[in-house]
Amino acid sequence: MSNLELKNLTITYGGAKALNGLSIEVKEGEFVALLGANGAGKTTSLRAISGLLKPTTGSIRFGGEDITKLSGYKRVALGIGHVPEGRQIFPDHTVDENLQLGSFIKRKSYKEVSQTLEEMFGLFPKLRERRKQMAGTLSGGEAQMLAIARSLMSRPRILMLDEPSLGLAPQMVLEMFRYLKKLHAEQGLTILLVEQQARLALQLASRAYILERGQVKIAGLAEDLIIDKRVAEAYLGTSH
Amino acid sequence: MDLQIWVEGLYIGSVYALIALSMTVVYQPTRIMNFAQGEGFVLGAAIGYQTIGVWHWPVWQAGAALILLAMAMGYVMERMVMLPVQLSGNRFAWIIATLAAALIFQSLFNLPYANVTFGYFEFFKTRANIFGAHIAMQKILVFTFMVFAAVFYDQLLKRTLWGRSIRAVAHNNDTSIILGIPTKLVIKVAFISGTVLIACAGFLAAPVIIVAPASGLFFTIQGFTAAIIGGVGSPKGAVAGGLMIGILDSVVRSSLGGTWGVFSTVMALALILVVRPNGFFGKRVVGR
Repeated sequence: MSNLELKNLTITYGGAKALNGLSIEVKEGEFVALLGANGAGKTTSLRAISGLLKPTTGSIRFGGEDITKLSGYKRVALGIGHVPEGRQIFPDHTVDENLQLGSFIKRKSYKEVSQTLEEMFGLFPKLRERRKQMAGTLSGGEAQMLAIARSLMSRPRILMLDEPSLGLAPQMVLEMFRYLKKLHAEQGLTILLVEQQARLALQLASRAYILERGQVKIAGLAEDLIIDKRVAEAYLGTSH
Repeated sequence: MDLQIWVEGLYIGSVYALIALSMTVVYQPTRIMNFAQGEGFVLGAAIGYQTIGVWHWPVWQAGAALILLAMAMGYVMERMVMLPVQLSGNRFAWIIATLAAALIFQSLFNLPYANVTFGYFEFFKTRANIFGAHIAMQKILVFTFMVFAAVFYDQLLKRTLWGRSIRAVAHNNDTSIILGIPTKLVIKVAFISGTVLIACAGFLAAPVIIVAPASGLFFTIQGFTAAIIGGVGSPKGAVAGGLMIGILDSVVRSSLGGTWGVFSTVMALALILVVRPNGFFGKRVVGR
């Protein structure tokens, strides 16, 4: 029951509506992409789900619970993981320390934390080599791996990623998406992916929402959207 | 030069170091320099004077009252500073908020204690002899307390998850929240523990230093100077900066006279800001 449900969500930023009655749903085990142009409300949606922004109207439900009014830091314990835009790793902390901060809510169960840590190093072997290094010295790709691993340290039921491909070399983008696919396929992790590279995202996800001005404009199965004429013109266009 | 002057300098330096350290405790998660921090020092001195000096309470009882009242003051101070910061959304709101808090506390101290200095008798009336320099045991107590507090806080920051969370909150509040770190609690705890620390310092030092109801801002400035010279945010820097200006103050005072003491520390501050703007132990500020 890790259904995530946003209903009629409105968020106002200094007079302008960043979200304008947004309704989306992510079911347990799904891989959903959230697409749209800049300013469509993708990042705002994720920040609302994490509790970093308070909606003026509407509700957010997760796992059958209404979390609209719940403090942001408490939502992590419910199983919401958020890899923010621009990675936001802590550059003055070592790789190890970054990962430990990711397991803040599990701090009382030492065994589980060290087990999860081993799992992360298995998944991202590069991070093991860099354990004692300051996170600020990592390459863009490594930093993105760290940001994902750090979020996974809290053992989330849903992982939300905000433009993980931003600023990465094309080869690195493909590698990172392979990791996401693996996490989804092997561990059954629910994923909500915000992405500018729409074509890649549609190849990975099973469903997608396309946002425009804080609302859902088009919704459907990824395989349908990728051949949809409206989508192709507006979002897949010339960039690939 | 007379060793006595250096030993006295180390003692007064440890007082400045304690103030700088408590400012560091608040600065670490918030990036706020709390100009009301010195009021905690006055509170500690006032409680010592009232409970031990006037009411003749035993030290442990006075100590208990001290910690409770300091915690309350830290809590109130956090609200006085953080509410304006959070509500206004202005990055610089803390400057006026902490100054306002300082002035409010200062006027509160002035109500009952207008013409009082908070001196009371020393816990240990003995003098120690260090290579011919005589120093009150009370001063050694202050110095020892400073060393323990600094080492404790330094290790807390480096080795514990709570310490790492403090640094994380400072770096990025939103990212800390999405990792499940209760950022508001981290900040509250910082204000409360910082105030308890500085109130203990005032309580211990009051018998051997002159503290008046309006001294808060003077001590704040001394601690601020020490923190800048040592490197803002660094516990090691707080200690180094405190001891440096303590010794400088003491040496200049004895050779050139009293009025030159504070002048020399301010000059040292100006010099450091030109030569080494991040202080001795400060990190270069990394742009995001």
